[in-house]
Amino acid sequence: MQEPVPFSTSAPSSPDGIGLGVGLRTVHFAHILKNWPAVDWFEIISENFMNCGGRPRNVLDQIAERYPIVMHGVSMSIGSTDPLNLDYLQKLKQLATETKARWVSDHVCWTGVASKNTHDLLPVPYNEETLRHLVDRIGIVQDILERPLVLENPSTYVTFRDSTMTEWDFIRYLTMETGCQLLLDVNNVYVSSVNHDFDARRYLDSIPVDRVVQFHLAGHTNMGTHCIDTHDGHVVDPVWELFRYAHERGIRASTLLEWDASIPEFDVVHAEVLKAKSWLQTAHALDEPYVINPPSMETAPSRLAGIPQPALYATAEVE
Amino acid sequence: MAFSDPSLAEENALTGNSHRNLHGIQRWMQAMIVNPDGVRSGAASDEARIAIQSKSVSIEDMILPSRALSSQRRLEVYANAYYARLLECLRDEYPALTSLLGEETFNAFAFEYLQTHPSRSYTLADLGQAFPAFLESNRAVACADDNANPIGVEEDTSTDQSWVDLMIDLARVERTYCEVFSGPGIEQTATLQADDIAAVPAEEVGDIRLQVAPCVRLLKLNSRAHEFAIATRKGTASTDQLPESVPTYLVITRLNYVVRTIVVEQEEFQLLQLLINGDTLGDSIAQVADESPLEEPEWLARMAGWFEKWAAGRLFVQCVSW
Repeated sequence: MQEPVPFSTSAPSSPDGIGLGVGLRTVHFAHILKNWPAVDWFEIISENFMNCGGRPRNVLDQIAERYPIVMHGVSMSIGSTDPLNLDYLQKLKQLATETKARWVSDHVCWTGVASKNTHDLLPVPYNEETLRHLVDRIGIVQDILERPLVLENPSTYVTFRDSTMTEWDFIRYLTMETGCQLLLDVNNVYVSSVNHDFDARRYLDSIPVDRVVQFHLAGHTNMGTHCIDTHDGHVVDPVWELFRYAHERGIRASTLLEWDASIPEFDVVHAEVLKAKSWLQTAHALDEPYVINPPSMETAPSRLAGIPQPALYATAEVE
Repeated sequence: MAFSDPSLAEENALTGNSHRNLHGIQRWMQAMIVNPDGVRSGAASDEARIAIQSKSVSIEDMILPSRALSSQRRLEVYANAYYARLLECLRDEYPALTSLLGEETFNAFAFEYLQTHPSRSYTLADLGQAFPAFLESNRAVACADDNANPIGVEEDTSTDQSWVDLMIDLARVERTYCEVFSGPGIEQTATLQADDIAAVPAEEVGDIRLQVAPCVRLLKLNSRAHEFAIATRKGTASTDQLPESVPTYLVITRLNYVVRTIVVEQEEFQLLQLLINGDTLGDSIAQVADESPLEEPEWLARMAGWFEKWAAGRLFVQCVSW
């Protein structure tokens, strides 16, 4: 195994990082440019801006002049056995430089092999071979980006028989071996805990507190037998409870709300992340295990297929 | 340092399983989720067997069930999402074509497209790049597909051709809109004005070449498909009033970050083609003028109008002579 990479940390100095942010989405461009809302920071989907010379990039440049920007990618495919895409990494680095991105994140996943991209965040088997593979590749990426890579725990829907360790152990070992940092998606922990029948608090207990630089919060779809990470609604109470539990464990990090389908007005999205303040004001741990309830009429899936994120595409403006 | 949890490894492993490396597992899983006939067919495919180097590996051999879902149902979450996500992206890129065909028929074409054109890019913006060419190469199939003419137009050979022409035209227009929207532009760049050409010494004007703006595209269509594409985006399109089948010449560009469509005359289009291909101004004008049925004064007046329109549309960034 490699020695941990001796990078200076990019973690924010404030206890809660750079505060409460919102994922930048094209439907909110006009509102943001008109109102310059009092949001602490924005997270962008890196791939939507890497080759873009049109309005999305122009809007991003204006926003980056006024707000901290964090880059969040969905195509690094750090877990794939295909070679790393060096052109992609150079463009990622260039965008990070141009937007003065506070940090660059992606997922503990692979998106395709044999030169194909499924555009999904596919899970890896958690075992020593995979760990060695990711450690090597994270080292290469960090050398190219010249900064620590921030990795997010994805929502997953299958468990491989070839896994020989838990996801939380795997992620902890990754941080130990590479010096990478973590984007802790609390909704994904919840979704995976339902899908894989584990205790979400046990997951959070294993996460190294000092490696987390960012939280993700989002809505999901309860399918009755499992949950899907659809990012199409409000954050449910059990996820807020987990968020509070992570905070009680001492994890302090910038917090971001993702809303990617059935996106409401900007103020609704912003208000959702601001709920974090009130949830953290009442501190008490969870007493009851989570119970997955069958979808009611109110909570039935908003889309039949329940497409897991990411499913992002910028639509052209035409006259 | 040993990282594995012995109890978990023992619990998960199947008795007698040979070692499966990460590459093999990933190839196996991808073969499952992209298989057009579903994960069961994927499991039986040669690709899956080769990936795992085994004559028979079931889904259950690879994936554990959860309390609520079987191994197959769990894997199907990814398989369903793969097509749902990519079809949604293609519908977003081709909203007018989706409206024309209806979602079910559009999905059928897009599903076939994904079999031969899976994404190989890190960005979804590239996913639909080859869709117009795919439709063109499947023109015969589209003509024979009753579903591709869902509004009940009386069917004869010419109608079928017109319908397929419109379908392909729409795909070309909508793809061009996407590329122009997100590609390089001229918002921060000075462009060629009439005065710039006037400043060139008369004896040198014929030898100059015009450098086209990077966002300019020329499209020759068999119909006025752009009208339907624009109306769809404005929410005013109706399949009761489909575009006329008539040769149509378009310049598509971007001004102030919004894609613009300019309908031009055939001769104007030809002149633009020559100029964009790098021919000199003199040669280009001479070639088009030679083929024009108009008298010279009338033709020159018309050409002057074109140049004024091109300057207003910021189609060229500069003139160069060499």
